[in-house]
Amino acid sequence: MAAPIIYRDIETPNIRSLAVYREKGGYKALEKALNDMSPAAVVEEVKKAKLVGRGGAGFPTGLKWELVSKDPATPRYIIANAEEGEPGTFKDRPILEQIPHRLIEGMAIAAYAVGAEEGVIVCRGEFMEPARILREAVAEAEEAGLLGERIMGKDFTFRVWVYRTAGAYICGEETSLLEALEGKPGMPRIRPPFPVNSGLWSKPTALNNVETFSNVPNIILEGADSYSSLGTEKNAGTKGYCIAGHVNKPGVYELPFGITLRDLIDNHAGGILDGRQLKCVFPGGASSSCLTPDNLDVVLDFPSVAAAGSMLGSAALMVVAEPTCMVEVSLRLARFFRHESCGKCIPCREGTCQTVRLLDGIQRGTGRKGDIDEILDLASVVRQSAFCGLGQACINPVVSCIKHFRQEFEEHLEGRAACCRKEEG
Amino acid sequence: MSANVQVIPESTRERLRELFERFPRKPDALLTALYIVQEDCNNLASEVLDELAAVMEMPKSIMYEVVTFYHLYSTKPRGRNIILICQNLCCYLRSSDEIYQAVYEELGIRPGETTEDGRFTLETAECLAACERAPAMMINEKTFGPVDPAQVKAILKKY
Repeated sequence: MAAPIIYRDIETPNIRSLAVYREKGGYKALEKALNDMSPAAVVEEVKKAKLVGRGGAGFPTGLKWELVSKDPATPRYIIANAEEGEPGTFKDRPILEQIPHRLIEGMAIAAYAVGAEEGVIVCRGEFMEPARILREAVAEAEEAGLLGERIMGKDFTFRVWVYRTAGAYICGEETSLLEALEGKPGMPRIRPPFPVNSGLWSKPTALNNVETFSNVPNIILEGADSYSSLGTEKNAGTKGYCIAGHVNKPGVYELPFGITLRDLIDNHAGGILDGRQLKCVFPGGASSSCLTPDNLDVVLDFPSVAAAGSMLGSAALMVVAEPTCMVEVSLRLARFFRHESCGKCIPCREGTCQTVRLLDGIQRGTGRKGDIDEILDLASVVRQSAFCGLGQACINPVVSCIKHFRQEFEEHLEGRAACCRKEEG
Repeated sequence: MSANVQVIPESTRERLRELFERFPRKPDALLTALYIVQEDCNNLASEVLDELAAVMEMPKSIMYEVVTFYHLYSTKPRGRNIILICQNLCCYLRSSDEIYQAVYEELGIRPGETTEDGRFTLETAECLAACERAPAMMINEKTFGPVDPAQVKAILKKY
């Protein structure tokens, strides 16, 4: 099935170039918005389409834009979050590298809707190549009068520049991203105030994920009703599902919300690698709790995955097959969060270090009898007291591994696990 | 150390002046300024930061906080080519440990180390947003994957 919206035309040769993008109808949505719609009508259309943020939080995009547009302070800013760093997520990279004008067009429509004249695409530090491609695309759009002053002859000015942070997972969190954009360590700010009122340089800022913006041209061109005819009642449209790990065909599959986990694995990702047995799936990246084969029929939209005890997040499905050691999996995820904890609040900074220490002892068989329960206690404290979403979520995956595979942890602790013996040598 | 020798060359200072024009205040441009200086001076050692502090008109301590907060800045000499290998879950499940081992066998370096000839520095990386190509690695700006340990030698040869 061809990708219906976000990745539509991505297979077209040289769709990266402005000329080919325009041949495929590119910038027609911007033209329609500028010619036929008021800024408020654009906001209304996006609200009606029930578009929600694709970065993980699922906040209604139209509402966000409305809040920005109604804040009297100026200038206002548009920011695309291209920090794509949640482990297992690789849905934005193809947009940035292959069809960058869809993002730029989406941002320009957003700018018109909220009354912003400046936009920034904030890439993660490792995205050197995507950043270069984006800069070329921005230059092309400027050259063609699609960015800059008096766009399409209208009283509408919008400029975009491309920025690169320097390697920190936390910068995907919106207020950390803003700190990084202002030249500081990417430590989260307290909310409220939210970026819609106090974002970049304390000005109203519409900060959305790359994938969110990339849906907008379609909503404007085809209309909200057509858009929301896809998906489930709660989540309209499509999602770029990323699936990787132990599957035969890892990749990004753009599908309407409402597909089940089983359908995605079996009918799109080619089934479990080499016919092995499924062990578990982390459906929303490294900070989501794992689902077991009992949950294969869960519908992959935000409320359904939450009801199953996890979260869809950025729809980064990391699939784990037998025989994989879940203590090692837990340790990998725990080390990741220890490394990426920004150090601002003690619960997260210490909680991530202690989780690694305890897991390491369990894996080596040098831990104490109560260590498994101590991780669970620690997790509960960190969940309730950490400053930001990273800290609140970071021990959840380990807790879920213990919950579903406790026996493996006990075997390691008692020195009975064969899988990790080599670590001791 | 001679007082009048600049570790940040004039050409780099010119690049910084151009950069500052785009930001409301100089300190706002710090992340990009650090990239520019690291690119031209190899790394962000103490004496480099001393000079940059004067250029940026901000305390060295604040710059040091930023330099050590982010993974892609280095205060130590770096090789001409930077290798990043993902160690996160999807790549681990697709045997990324074998890629580290293959690089070690070829170059004799572990994460954080630089070859004696200054050709390569190896660093660990967290998810590179290339999980469909796991195990993934980057050399400078280019992403490779799925990397077969047997290909590592041939890939490195190009640098």
